[in-house]
Amino acid sequence: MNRVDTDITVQVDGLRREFDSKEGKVTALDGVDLQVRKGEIFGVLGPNGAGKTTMIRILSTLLLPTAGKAGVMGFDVEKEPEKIRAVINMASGAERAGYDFISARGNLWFFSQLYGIPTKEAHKRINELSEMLGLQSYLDRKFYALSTGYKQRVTLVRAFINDPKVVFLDEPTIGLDVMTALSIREYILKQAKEHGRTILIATHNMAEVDAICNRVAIIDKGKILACDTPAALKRSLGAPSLVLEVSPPPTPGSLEPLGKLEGVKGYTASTDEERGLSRIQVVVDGDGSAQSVVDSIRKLGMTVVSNWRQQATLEEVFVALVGRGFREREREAAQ
Amino acid sequence: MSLRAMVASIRVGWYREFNWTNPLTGFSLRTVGPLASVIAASTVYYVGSTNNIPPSFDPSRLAYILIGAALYAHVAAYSWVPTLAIAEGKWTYVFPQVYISPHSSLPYLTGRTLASFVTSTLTVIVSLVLSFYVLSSVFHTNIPFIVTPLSVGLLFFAMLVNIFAALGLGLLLSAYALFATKFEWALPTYVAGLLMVFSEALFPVSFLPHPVSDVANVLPFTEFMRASRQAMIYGDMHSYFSYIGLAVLGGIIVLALGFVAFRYAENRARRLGVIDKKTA
Repeated sequence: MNRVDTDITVQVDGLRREFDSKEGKVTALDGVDLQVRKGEIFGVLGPNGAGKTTMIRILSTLLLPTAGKAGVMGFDVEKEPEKIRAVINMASGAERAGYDFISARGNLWFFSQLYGIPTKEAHKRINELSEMLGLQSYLDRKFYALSTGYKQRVTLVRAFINDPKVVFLDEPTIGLDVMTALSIREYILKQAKEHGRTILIATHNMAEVDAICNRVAIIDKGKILACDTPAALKRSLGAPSLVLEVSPPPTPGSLEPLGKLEGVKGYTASTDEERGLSRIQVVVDGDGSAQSVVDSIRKLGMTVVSNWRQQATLEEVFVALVGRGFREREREAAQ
Repeated sequence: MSLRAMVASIRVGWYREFNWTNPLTGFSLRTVGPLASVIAASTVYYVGSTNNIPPSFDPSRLAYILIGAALYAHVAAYSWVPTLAIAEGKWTYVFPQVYISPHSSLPYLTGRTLASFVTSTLTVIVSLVLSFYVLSSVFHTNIPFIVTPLSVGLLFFAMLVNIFAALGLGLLLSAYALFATKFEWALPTYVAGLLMVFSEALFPVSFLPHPVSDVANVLPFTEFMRASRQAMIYGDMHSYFSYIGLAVLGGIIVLALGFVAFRYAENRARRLGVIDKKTA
């Protein structure tokens, strides 16, 4: 671990984590290398099961790596967990930690005490952070009586209650409505900009990464496939991607020939049940390839209802790297 | 150990025990268990001994059972709190959050245990007093308790001393709960059952076969029961302090064992990745 470079707050070298399962060993992280700088909002983007949560669990000292090194603020997760715990915090969107029978304020006070914050100072911080998230008028409600969105706001206040230098957020806006998600993203941005905190977000929400992350690492099957700013990653694709609406929707596996066409980097498909159409996004490297895609789809017995070119998104970056979209990857993993 | 974290955990522990209802109702309901335990054990003894031929009822034996049943219920009520705090904490995701805050898991578990100790002490004292009056009037007998400020003070002191052993037992059980995903809810019940047999709660451990009786004889819980009976029934100060000394010594050993087991389990659970895994 390089303790001299004070600009690096999270450093991961050759990180590997295996889990035992009934089917044998499952590799969740497979030699991950990563560096996150001070004050950066860093996104780890990948489909479910890609290894994002495992990485956060290791960095937040809940889990030990099988091999490799991981460190936060120059401290090693394996040898110096207590030093790491003093400078980090963590929140998971899927888990809203709190005692149901205690008020939101009571819960936040309890967690603040675990960090040794004097009560007066703790209440000041609770009020300040809650105000940013519009939580103040809900603070005296019992935790169980809060809606999912407000429970998540409590979780996010808790994640910053100890004035942490590094915060790990695992799917911070999962299952939330658009407005709540927006206010949470604004809050995260403020925390990084105004307080210089490093925030590492694991998510499969591409809009979120696009909106708030300075840099993003795309992860799949426990490996980092690319790491750069969202803009640079999208630029790396070159040509805009091709979007086609087709009918009837393709059957599973019927689009395989598309992936074999010259100039096609990958594709992803989704079905609009109401309209009886499928939308196929194809990452191509030029206009010639686009025409061969349209021809190929017609040969497969589908009618192209409409087609257009679209500026590349991060999902298309993923498609170009893996050859499949998030949905297909998650389906493959489930099988 | 972080004092602030421990005090906050005591407060959370009290909320946990009573916050679903008002304190009076909660307290009353929590008294039912030890009261029922004491009255049931005493009644079984009374009915059994008075139906012997010739009758062998002995009021001092009734006092022995009354103290043992009450204090057994007391220990059983709070020594399993660390296990509960971890098992439910995994469900609510509170425990992983406690775990990743610096130096907090042990103060948290200690605080939760102390909160339960206070509640359990109060409910056991109430049930002891109530059962004393109920049984005296129903069985028309004078239960030979020594009730003076000194004897009651010595009983409290014995209860305080026993915190070491109970917390140690709690940590041993919670060490299992840390990396277990099965049976951790039930484990304290099994252990409490064993404790009833091996801690001289209802009968002297000399009744047990060797070498089980030898092990039971040196358990700090056994010494705690003996010391409490010396304070409340027999009044022998020399024996009281001998038993207290042994209870302290045994308690510290159990606490040290619990601490080592907990630390080992923490590391193992971190390696297995089960600290934040919900139970099956």
